[in-house]
Order: sequence, then C-alpha cells, then structure tokens
Amino acid sequence: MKPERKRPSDSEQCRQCAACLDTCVVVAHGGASILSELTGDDQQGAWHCVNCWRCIERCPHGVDIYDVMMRRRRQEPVPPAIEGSIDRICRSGCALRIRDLNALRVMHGLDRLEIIDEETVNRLLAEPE
Amino acid sequence: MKVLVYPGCMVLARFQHYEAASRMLLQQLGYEPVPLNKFSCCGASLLPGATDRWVNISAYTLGLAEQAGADIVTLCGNCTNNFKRVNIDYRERPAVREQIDAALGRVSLGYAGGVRVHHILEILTRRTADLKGLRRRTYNTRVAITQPCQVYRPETITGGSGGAPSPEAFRRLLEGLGIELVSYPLEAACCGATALLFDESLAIEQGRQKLASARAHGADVLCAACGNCLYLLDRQQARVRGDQREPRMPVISVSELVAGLLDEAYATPFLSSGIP
Repeated sequence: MKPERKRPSDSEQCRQCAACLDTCVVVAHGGASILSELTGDDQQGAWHCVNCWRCIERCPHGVDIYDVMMRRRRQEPVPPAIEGSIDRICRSGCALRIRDLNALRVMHGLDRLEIIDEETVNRLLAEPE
Repeated sequence: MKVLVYPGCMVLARFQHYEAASRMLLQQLGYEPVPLNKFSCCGASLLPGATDRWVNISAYTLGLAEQAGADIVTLCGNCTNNFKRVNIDYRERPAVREQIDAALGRVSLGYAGGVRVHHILEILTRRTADLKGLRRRTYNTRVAITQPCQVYRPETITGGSGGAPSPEAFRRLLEGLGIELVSYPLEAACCGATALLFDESLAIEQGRQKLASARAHGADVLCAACGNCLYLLDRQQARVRGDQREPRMPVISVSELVAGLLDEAYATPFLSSGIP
C-alpha cells in the first residue's frame, strides 16, 4: 500500500535510504542531490529540480519531498534566470512575455483574452494584514 | 458541462494550435467552453519556491471558474498539478483556506473549493469510445508518446476522486483510435524542459536522449500532452538534435493528433511535414 502523504516539520521522516537518487534525472546528470537537500547538507540544490516528482513516488517512507523542496527553495538563493521569471509573474501575472497575444489568438480562431493586471496580482500576493 | 479551458503561460504564448484543437474536441464531446475573462499564471513551478502566497494566484483562476459554474481543463502538467494541489490544500489545511479567502476577498472574488480540475488527457481518455465514433480518417504513421510527468505525479495530488490518470490510459487512447504506437525505453522519462531554467545542457541532453530513443524504436512522430514538453522537444529541437544529421521529428500535442482524426485542418502542420 502506498504510504499516506505526510507533511513533516522538516525532513525527519527521511531515512537516507537514497531510493530517491536512483530516480532523479538531475542526479543522473551529475547535479545536486535530493538526499543532501532532505538531510540539510546542501544549500544550493533545491532549485535544481525538474519537478517530475518521481522521487515522491519512489520514497518508501512517504516523505513529501515537494513540501521539503519548496520550503528549502525559500531559504536558498534564487538562480538569476528563475528570479527573472518569478519577477515577471509577480509583475505581470504571466511567466512569459507575450507579444501580440490577441493577434495570435484570432489567427488560430481563439477568443480574445486579457491578462490579469498588475494591481490585482499585487493584491493577491500582498502580505496578510 | 461547462469547462474553462486554461492554456497556461507556455501554451498561451507559443502553442495556440494546441488550445484550438483542445477546444474543438471538447465541443465535439458536448462540453461548453466558457470565456476566461482574465488570465493569470497558475504559479508555475517557480512561484511555490518563492512564497507560500503562490496559492492565492492559483486560486484566482479556480475562483473565476467557480463563478462561471465551470470545471477547469488544463493543457500542461505543471498547471494541472498546481490547481489540484491548491484544491486539496484549500479543503484540508485551514490556514491555507483562510489565506486564500482573504486574498480573493481583496479582489472581490471568492472560492468555495468546488471546482474540479482535469487535464485534457483525462477527458480524452475517458471519452475514447465517443472519439472513435467521431473519427473521420486514420494516420499511416508510427507515433511515440512522451508522458507528462506532472499529470501523473505525485498520485496523492493528481489522483483526485476519480483515480489518477495513467500512462497506460494515454496509450489506450491512441491505440483505441487506431493509431500505431511504438514503445521506447524513455517514454516515461522526464523531457527535461524545466531544466532549461537552471541547466540548459541537462535539458538539451534529456531531450536529445528522448528523441534519439523514440527514433531508434521506429517513431515517425512524437506526441506530447504538456506545453513544456512541446517547448523543449519541438521549439528547441534544433538545439536538441545538435549536429542535425537526423531529420527533424514532428512533435504534436495529443489534442492536435486526435483532432486531426476528426478534421484534417487540425493536423495540417503535422501532415505537411511529409508524414502520411
């Protein structure tokens, strides 16, 4: 039976069995290790993840690796290319620059569409009062 | 049933034909697409790593869908995963629910947690028999699938009440529609597209291995179900193929491949590549 999804306060459920490593394409290419993130030995690798989540499927201890990785990302420096994309989402509500959006949509027989405005994004992402 | 077709940033920007084919199929199957009045990113794979308030951005689209009385149909793995995750957290984590309610309240919107989220693949796989009845032609070509990781994993997020969609269901959909499938060892391997953001060489190598493996096992065409897979394997294919000794491999979304069986116009770009 698949272990129930758990939300560890950190990574205390990780038994360092390394099952996750065998599944990771980033590790296979010599990149940062999931396991060192889980054990707290690495402070650079949480952003270096392709989000395929095969590691979660493989973990025999039900560690919610997504939860751990996202919390670790908030503690680590954001790679410059990713920082630009995050900034774009926060400013424009869209991860990519889109030129002539509605001209493209009309060309493909799609309805016109508006992107959310910056003020609405700011309100949604504002610190709770 | 009303559906809000959510393209996601990548499909919105670069794969309008994927959205158009998806809408056509949904209409043919009796769904009623409603307008998306304001598009906003789902949070992508990036925002959750920057702030725990990313759920508010995702919930904005869920709120718009609920206001329209519609389910959401996604075209990308990451969007699917994010919306389903937010739905679960909204129901199970009171602090998240409180945060979302407050944020949506600031923009005069609400959400009660009632919107179901389906990747287009889930709809098409459930309605294979109906699609078979609508089919007007066949292809004389061998198709390989590149499986969309985040549509399937983690199962605790993607499963929902109807059970998780599966790679096997994707295969059964195409086979059920008379498409000749080829198997290859890297069918379920991550395409590597997300790595373009932090390690281009890793992404290109992942894509190269996948295309080479599909080609070596006899594929004429690669079929994807995610905007990010399409971006790496189609738009970045010149880089992925490297020395260019191999011919370009057409990469097509599942919606275009299936829509082309109903109406040739949807498969024109793919057919014009010389594949019969």
